[in-house]
Amino acid sequence: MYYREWFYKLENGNLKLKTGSIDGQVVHISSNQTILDLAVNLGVEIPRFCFNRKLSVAGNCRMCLVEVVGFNKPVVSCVEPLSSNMHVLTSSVLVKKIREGILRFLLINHPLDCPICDQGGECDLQEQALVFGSNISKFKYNKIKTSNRNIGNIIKMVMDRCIKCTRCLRYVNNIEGLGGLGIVGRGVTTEILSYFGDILKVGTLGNVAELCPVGALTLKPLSFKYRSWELNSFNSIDVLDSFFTDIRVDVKGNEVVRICTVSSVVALDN
Amino acid sequence: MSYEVYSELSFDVPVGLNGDCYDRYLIRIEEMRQSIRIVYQCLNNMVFGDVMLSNYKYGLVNKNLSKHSMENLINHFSYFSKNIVLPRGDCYVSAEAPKGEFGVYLLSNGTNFLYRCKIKAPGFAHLQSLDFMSKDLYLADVVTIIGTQDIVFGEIDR
Repeated sequence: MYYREWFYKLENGNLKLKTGSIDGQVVHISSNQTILDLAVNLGVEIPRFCFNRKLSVAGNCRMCLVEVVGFNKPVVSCVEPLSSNMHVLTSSVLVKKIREGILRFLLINHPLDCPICDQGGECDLQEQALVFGSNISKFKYNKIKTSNRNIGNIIKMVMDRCIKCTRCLRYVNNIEGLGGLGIVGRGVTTEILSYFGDILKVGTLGNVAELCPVGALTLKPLSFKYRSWELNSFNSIDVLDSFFTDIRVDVKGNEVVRICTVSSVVALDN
Repeated sequence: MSYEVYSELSFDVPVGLNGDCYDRYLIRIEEMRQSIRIVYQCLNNMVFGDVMLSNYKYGLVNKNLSKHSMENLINHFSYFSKNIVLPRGDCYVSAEAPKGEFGVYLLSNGTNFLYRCKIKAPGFAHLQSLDFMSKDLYLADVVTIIGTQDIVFGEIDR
């Protein structure tokens, strides 16, 4: 009934089709889709850290800020739905400047760990700093150092490298539903840790390592075993799972080192 | 590019008149003298300042900088681990080498490693003329001809 009415109104010109645009490409708005979702469909690249399709939206990394013509402030594209007559610019001078500034802030307290970090080579922060980041560091002071916590035998936690995207937190709290991880402190002293220093008893905690965009949470059994560019990847199907989930098998030489989720299924939906 | 200031330099082009091994020897010696002359002129007239690209995303990062700055460490790490991603396509760039044209052909398939890299060294063309140059001569002369052609056998087919 609704659709018939809608089409009737459309034909008679009572209801105008809502349109917006992203980088000049006209988008027909049908539902409450966010700017980021629509941009992904159009093939427009918007960098982000905290957004993941399977997790709840946080919007705290501020990497996906875009400019909207007529707005005096940039909007967070992973939260903001595209409404009619909104003209979004994703690669304007302002947006480039914002991305550069945000990456500069993220790298202020990031330790110089790339050569000894397990995530090196497949790190979102590295890739985005390379493409969108600035060329030089203007920070001349000492970096803040936090102590490492032990949260179990699966995950190695190096909180210095954390950029507080809270992906791990949302995974453990919302999807796993255990609520072991949380944010402590404010400002530059913000830390993500398990309450009371507990060891997390989460069955699928390995996903957290894959969700983490930086090297803060990596797989402990595989630490210092490989570099990402040494691996050959093969797509496969998990036969031990009744859902026959798509998996990616990473092989170094003739040895399987790890099994990852395929991006379309769970984790790195970048 | 490197031929930018050729018009501002003064040098002589060495030419031999007889086309024999001794001529080639004399030319090679004279070429070295002229090269040194060009190098001296370039060094004396060089503008003070940076000679390398200061945008470290596309050039080699200063190692000292990468020990203090996170941005430069990332650039340095990515440069040496993942390399630069070149767009799909091919190119041929030639430069002037002491013995002729030195060309590099690159073919990229859009990944961080080149699909094909062919280096065309000038010695490759010279070696083909060995048959013509050593016709009706003694075998012992071939040694001198190869020597004055200044072939490096490692470079002839790369």
